[in-house]
Amino acid sequence: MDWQLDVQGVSKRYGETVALEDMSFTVAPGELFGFVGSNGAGKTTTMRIALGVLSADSGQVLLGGRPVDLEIRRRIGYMPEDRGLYPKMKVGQQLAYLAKLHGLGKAEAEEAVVRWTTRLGIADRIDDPVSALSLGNQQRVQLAAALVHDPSVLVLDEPFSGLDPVAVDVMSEVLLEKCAAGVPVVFSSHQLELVERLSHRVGIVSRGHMQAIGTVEELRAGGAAQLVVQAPDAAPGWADALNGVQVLDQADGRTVLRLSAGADDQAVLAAALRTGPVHEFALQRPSLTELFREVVAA
Amino acid sequence: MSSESSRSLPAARAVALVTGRELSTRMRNKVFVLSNAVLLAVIVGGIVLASVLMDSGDPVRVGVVGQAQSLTSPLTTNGEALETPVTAVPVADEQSARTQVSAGDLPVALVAGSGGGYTAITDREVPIELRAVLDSAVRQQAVEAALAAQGVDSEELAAATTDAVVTVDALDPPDPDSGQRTALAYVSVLLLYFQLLTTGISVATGVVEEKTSRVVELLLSTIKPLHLLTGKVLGIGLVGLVQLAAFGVAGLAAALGTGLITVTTTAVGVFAGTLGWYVLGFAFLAVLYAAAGSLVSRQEEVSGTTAPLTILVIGMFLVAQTSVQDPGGTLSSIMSWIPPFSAILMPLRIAAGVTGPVQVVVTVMLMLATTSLFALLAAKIYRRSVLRTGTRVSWKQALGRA
Repeated sequence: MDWQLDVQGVSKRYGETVALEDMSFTVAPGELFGFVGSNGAGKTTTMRIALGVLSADSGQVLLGGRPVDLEIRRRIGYMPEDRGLYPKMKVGQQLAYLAKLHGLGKAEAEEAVVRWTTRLGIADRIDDPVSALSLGNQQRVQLAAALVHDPSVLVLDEPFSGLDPVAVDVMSEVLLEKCAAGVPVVFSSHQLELVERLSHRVGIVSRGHMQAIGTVEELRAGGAAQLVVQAPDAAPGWADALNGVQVLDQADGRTVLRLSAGADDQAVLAAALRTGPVHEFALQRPSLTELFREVVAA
Repeated sequence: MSSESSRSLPAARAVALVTGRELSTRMRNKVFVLSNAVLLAVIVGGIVLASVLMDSGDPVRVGVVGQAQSLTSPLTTNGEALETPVTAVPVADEQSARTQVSAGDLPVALVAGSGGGYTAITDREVPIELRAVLDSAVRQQAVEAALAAQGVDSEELAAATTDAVVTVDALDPPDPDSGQRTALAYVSVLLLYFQLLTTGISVATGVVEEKTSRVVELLLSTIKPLHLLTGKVLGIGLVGLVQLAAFGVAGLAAALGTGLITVTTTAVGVFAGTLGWYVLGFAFLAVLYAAAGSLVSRQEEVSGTTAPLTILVIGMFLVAQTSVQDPGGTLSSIMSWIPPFSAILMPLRIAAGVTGPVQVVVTVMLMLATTSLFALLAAKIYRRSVLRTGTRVSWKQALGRA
């Protein structure tokens, strides 16, 4: 079965506050989708609606082409933003319980608990209560809780927050591995470098709306490009009259320009050459962080 | 690898899993096991102690010195007649009688005096019942001796006076078992109060525990709120029932074994009734406690939202406690019809024998009906509040059309 995740035109209001407005995106099987946005942008609300913990005012969430009902939802591995497990329950018992609540049989559940605790390096803590574990290890248990029923889709809200660097590597590995196995993975994060490095596609959400979506390359290409021109003899204001060009900075013969979409970079080069020698002429695509700032500020 | 079939989880299995978790985590909890072991020991120990203290069945030992040994037979027969059984214990001489009395080995010793009179040696005083036995035995011996001197045959005398006894014909005889019935009723009330209060609060704190730890969001992404609620209430209710049954069995066994309770049928009936009414009372209160728990996110706030329910349970207890003395009175008669007061008053009335099958059936139906109604309401409140964390949800918000 093809477990594509479709979020279609989902809206949610709390009284006067608009939490989500026509939120739409698709995550294909085997795709790692990074969800970024400032706090309160609507990432968590979207995920909670996908998991049925919250109901949408309009729009729908489809999984494998079918609206998400309770039975389909059991195929999702979920890591809520608000981390939570029974603090006094033993790691192994707790994971087995959650696996069974997702429809696994007893033997199947116990086998999965051993497999995932071993994979995540917490097998020796299986008989300890969760509260006895370090915060980092509790996060690993939380990830195990999302994976233990062998989900067909992963929805992870801030899976990297609070992880030590080793755990970040383990988490990244597991996500990529699940992706390679054909599982669509959605995760949100504030660590944009991590999102940029891992994600196949990224969605930038702001004020409840999807502002930009695409591969990191597409987003960067679509963003306003910057030109760096090193022309030592250029007088101040040399580029002011050029069409579609905004001077961001000029000092010591180095000029940083922003080109609006459709502006002719060759015209800029010609103008620069008219001032004298040009030692550097470089087009710089914005990083995800810069794009993010741009989108959020817009 | 991943099975492609969608994972089905029938409602019954979801509820059973939740119930199973409640049972296993609670029953395996060391504090729970230990405190219950202590409680059981206290119950059994208390009953054994009570039976020892209340034991008056053993005959009183009366020392008889020398010639006083001729009183052995009249002492025994008069003791039986006056319901103060007496055993005559021969003592060698007055000196050793005094020693034994002062050592506390004998409560009293009789020494023959002159003219058919006797001296009773005792430490401080002779209890009035025992005094009556001693007096009548001595008088009987003197009368028989005097009549024998007149040539009257003592056996003929006995035959002639056998039927000269007073037979009591009471118009409203007291129930000989009423003391035991009252005791049973009181124990039943105490147990129900204790159990309803503790299990109710367990439900509320259990709900809050899932909110505080935030595990509830994970749970509700795979099962329905109603299933989580039902499983939790069933699990905690079962733990409470097992606990109550253990207390009851231990208490009954100890009381019957030591002879403290002799009305076996009544005792077993009261026990069964207490268990049954616990189930009804718990079901009524538990769903409300769950709803109250779902309104808050921190354990410190639980006592606040559950206060009205706790006051209700205490009210039930106070009415029941008052009614123990007068189970057939107006207060008990009226309140026992009203849910959830029936839950604590009906076992008491059954114990006292002041109710009939009609009231039992009707009050059970009333309890079931009101419980279903409140369960619907509570499930609605629970569903609406259990995922709201942070500030306390008001009853109005929880019930409103939000």
